[in-house]
Amino acid sequence: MNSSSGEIYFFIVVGNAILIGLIGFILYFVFQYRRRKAESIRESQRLEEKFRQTLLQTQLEIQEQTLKTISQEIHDNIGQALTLAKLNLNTMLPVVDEQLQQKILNSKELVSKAIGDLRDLSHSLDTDYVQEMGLQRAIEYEMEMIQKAGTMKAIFQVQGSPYRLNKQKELILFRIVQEAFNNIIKHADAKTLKAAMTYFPDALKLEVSDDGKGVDLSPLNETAANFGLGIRNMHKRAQLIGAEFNMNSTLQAGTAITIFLPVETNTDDSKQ
Amino acid sequence: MTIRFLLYLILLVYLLVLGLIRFKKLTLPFQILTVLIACTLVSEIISRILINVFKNSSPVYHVFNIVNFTGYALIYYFLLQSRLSRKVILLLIAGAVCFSVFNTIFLQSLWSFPSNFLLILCFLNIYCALLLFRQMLHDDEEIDILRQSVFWFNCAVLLFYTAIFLNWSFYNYLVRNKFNTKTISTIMYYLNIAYYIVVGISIHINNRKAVPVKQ
Ligand SMILES: Nc1ncnc2c1ncn2[C@@H]1O[C@H](COP(=O)(O)OP(=O)(O)OP(=O)(O)O)[C@@H](O)[C@H]1O
Ligand SMILES: [Mg+2]
Repeated sequence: MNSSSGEIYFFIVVGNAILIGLIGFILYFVFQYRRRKAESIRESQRLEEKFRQTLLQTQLEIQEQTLKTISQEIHDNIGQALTLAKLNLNTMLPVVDEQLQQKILNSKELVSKAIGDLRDLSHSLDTDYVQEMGLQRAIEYEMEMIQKAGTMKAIFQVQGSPYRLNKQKELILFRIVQEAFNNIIKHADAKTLKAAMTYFPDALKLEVSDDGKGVDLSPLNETAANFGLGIRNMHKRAQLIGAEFNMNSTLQAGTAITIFLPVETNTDDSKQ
Repeated sequence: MTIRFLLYLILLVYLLVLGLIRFKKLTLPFQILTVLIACTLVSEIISRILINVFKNSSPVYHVFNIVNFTGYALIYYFLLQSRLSRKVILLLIAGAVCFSVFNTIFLQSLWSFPSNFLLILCFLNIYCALLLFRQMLHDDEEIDILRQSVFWFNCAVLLFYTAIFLNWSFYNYLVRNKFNTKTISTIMYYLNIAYYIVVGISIHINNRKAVPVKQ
């Protein structure tokens, strides 16, 4: 009898242990299932994000390609044609009378200026050229061109000890700065344009500001389709390289954009 | 008629009505489940009548167990996706029918309870439930697991049939040693009721076009 009740006791304990084990198994299953689902959701989000980035990258690459083609076109065809025109003018000089000579000289000067301007333009459009010069030099160059045009003063400041970034990033930063410059030239009515680069050991800060009429940026947040494609593109480009982009504007006082790009110090960024 | 039997019957009727009302919205396995519940209800009633007339309801179970087995096998046949599992299930149905006839003729006669067969049903269900859990881990259902009818159904099957299996083993042991089996019968009754409550939940939330949860 005693051994029997021992057996019964054993049966009950084992049976309950099995059931409790199964319940534990089900709880573990639920836990595992949720973890997997969360993981797969994260994974698909990551893929989506990656896809978006690739898409953006492709768009930008196509844009760059177009710019490059235009730049080559300017350099090879229009530049060539203008140079020829200039030569023609030269040959005309000795065989015409005084009055015409003056006009031809004027024309020659205009053509020379056009050649120079076009060369500058083709340079700032050309990806390779920008990448060879480096970001800092390219910005400087761009500002020299603005200064030369003579409508406003261009001030460039550099702080910290300069370093190079990866070429792709430099190009994207340059395109952002270029758009900022274009906006200032097109819209700001400014007297001065300022650009500042600050090299921190672990980040690069770029500021472009003007003392023009400013703009109300609130339509940007309302996703008004027509307003601010340029500004939106600056934003997108900054996002693409993991930079922070900010734009501030005060009416009658001016506009400023700031780009803040964290730089990995331990990986050699300039080597890509 | 005891109160708990009445409770059990009411529960079955409720599930049947629920299943029939929602029949068009149910997925195929749950439609089969509804039919199975109808069969269960009928068999319970016949069994009660037989007990009153012959004091023994075993013949019902010789028939009903085959229906039950085939029903569950079909449910899992449609729930499981792996071809191998499906083939195994078809073979099991064929095998089980043969065994059931063999069992009734040679082992457990019409007037004794076909517990052998019940044990086979337990094994089938535990095996399939585990397979289904494994499959669920790999499929990409977007609904939260606690809102999936299949999950509740599977939990119910796994726990219930394991418990029934253990109880039957214990019951046989007690009978052999001439102990009182009243407690075990009572436990099995309440296990049944608990089982059908959870199955009811699964029928309730089962839906052909399940809506994914918002993330
Ligand atoms: N520096 C600025 N000073 C004053 N207004 C500005 C300045 N930058 C932008 N804006 C205003 O913000 C608007 C949006 O600028 P954005 O660069 O997005 O578009 P856009 O220059 O008009 O067109 P796009 O750049 O596509 O050629 C401009 O139309 C202009 O009115
Ligand atoms: Mg613009």
